[in-house]
Amino acid sequence: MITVGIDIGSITTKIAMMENKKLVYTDLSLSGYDMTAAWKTIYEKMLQKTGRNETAVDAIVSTGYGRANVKIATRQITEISCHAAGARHFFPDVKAVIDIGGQDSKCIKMDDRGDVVDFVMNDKCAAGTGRFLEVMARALHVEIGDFAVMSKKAKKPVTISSMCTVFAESEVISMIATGESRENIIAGIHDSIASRMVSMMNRTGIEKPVVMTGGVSKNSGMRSAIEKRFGVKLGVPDEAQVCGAIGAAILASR
Amino acid sequence: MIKLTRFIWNNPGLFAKGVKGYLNQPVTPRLAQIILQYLNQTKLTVLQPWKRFGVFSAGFPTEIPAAMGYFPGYPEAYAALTGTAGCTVPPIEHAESLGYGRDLCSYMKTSIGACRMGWPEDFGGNRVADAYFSANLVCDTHLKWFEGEARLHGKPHFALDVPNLVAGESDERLEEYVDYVEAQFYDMIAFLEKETGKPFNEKKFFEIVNDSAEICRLFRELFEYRKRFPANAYFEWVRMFMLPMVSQWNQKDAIRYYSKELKKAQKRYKDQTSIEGGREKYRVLWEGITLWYNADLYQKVLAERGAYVVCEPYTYSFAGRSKPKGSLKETLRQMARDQIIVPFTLNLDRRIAYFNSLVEAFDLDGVILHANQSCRPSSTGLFDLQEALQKKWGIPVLMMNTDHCDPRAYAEGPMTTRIDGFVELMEAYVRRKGEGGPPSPENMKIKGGV
Repeated sequence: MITVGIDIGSITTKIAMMENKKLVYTDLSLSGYDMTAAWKTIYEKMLQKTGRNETAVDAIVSTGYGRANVKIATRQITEISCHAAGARHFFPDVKAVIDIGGQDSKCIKMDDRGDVVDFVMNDKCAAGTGRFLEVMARALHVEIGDFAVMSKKAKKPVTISSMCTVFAESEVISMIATGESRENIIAGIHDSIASRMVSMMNRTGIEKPVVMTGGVSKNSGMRSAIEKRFGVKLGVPDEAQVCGAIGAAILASR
Repeated sequence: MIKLTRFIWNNPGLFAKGVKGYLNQPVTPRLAQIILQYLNQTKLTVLQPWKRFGVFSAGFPTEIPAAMGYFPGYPEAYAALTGTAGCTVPPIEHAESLGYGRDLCSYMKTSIGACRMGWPEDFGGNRVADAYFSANLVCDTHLKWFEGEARLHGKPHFALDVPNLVAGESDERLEEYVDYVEAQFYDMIAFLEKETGKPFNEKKFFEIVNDSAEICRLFRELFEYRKRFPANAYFEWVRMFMLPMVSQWNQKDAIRYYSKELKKAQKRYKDQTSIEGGREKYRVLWEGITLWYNADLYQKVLAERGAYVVCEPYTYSFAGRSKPKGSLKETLRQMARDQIIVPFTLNLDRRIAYFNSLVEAFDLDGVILHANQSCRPSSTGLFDLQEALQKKWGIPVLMMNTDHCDPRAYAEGPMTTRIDGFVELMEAYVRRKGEGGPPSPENMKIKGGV
């Protein structure tokens, strides 16, 4: 059985193909303005690369904020269930998932069967999301890919007190003006997001093992900050950024 | 009428949007007639100087001033209707430009903004009252809001202080509270006698109280039919349907209307629990004020997913008026009791017990708790309530962070994701219920607003 999962997020669109419960293909691209064009492009590329015909695909599940754009989807499922299913694929014992995406961040609690039983999401605020990190990277004139390395060089991480992206950016600019090092500021940014995530995790009452998914999980500085604050080692799948799409492909087979 | 004409002339686009919004409500011609009659009568008081126009806060014991000839105007009802019309943002922004903060009550800001812009009642405004009446039984904002309006217009203001019951209070303390509110009722009578120059009209008062009780009885009886399968009515209808009861105007007509609706329900169900169509896919309880600007949330977003709001303490809270007792004193004491004990303002212990009974009685599959951005009193205790419900039932709970009258607080994309997640959890919950197993011992909840 061949199933496909398409996860259209606010920043990137991800795709995954499973064949008989085995992951055979993943890809991603920027969502951009035209989300339909975004998923179609990577969908056609996937068919081409895997040498499959569209008729060979048995089911497609779309997820993410742009899920309604995938008109050929068999079903639409929220990214909450999809990230949980994706994380369980890599870590069968997982009890909780932290997903920091471009537009939102969420903590998902699961039971022994892998069913979602609880989740907490940030609400209408970019603080604690991938977009927050992008805004900060722009203010600091640093490539976001360098955040992890730079944060590890911090001697004394600063404290970011503002809980709003816009105000936090102003705060960071003030720190730059006072001569604070970028390394300390970046470590402080990671710490502020970690603090936010840990409060969400505590509200959910999540248990170990905890898996981190989403694009931000690639940032080892961010991971370390959460691990330090929460006192738990995070599992990170090899395909963390496309975990939602993988979960969607898994759920498509059910 | 002049105000409305001026409003249409100055805001043709907004008026068209408002009409479209009104037409989007699931209102029958008969209910529309009642609502329009009420709005028109409010406007006509300008041309009837011999009649007194009172402006009242929601839930105020209007029966006492009404017995002295005060027509009941409700800024919150006008604001709510403006919400259904989808036209609250301009008056709210106007109020904010006057210095009212973004987190203050959006009913108040709609009313103040619309009044200052000279908008008619259909779009949130209201004429200057002969007297202002406010009570803090459900909201502390009422007192300052009405006091401010009264001072601005140089009119008298009567403030009724209703103590809030907190957990663990004894029956003796409750009786003290009843004494306290009863004493204020006598103060109100003295206030009205002074304002009108007439003695209190007890006969009229008893008649109004009796009609109020009958309206509430009919509403409560109709509410019971929402326990049947499928429910007799859903929230998007009931929130409009309650207006004749809330407005406390033309009570005889309201009784006729509700009686007819009750007969229809009796005929529809007879003695059956379940009729054609069977049970809804998901039966949901809504706690908190409705989203007036978002009828589509109920009749499209939730309904398309098979979820229907079959119970809401919010509308039921207006149906607590009791029949008159043998004497004025006893009747006033009962009114005081009705003011203090309202489902919407129950203390946490009573509230949890009340909600537990609703989960069972209405065979609920999910609960939506409206964490209202500009109505913090109604949002207090929601996390504790959520925890208690999940612990006992394992029922999915969606905490919805938005606002009752300010559509700027509703983000459609993120909210739809939460609703979809909530529906996915209800699907699992219903499946477990169908399997006959006990509810999951795990919590099943969705939270936002971190």
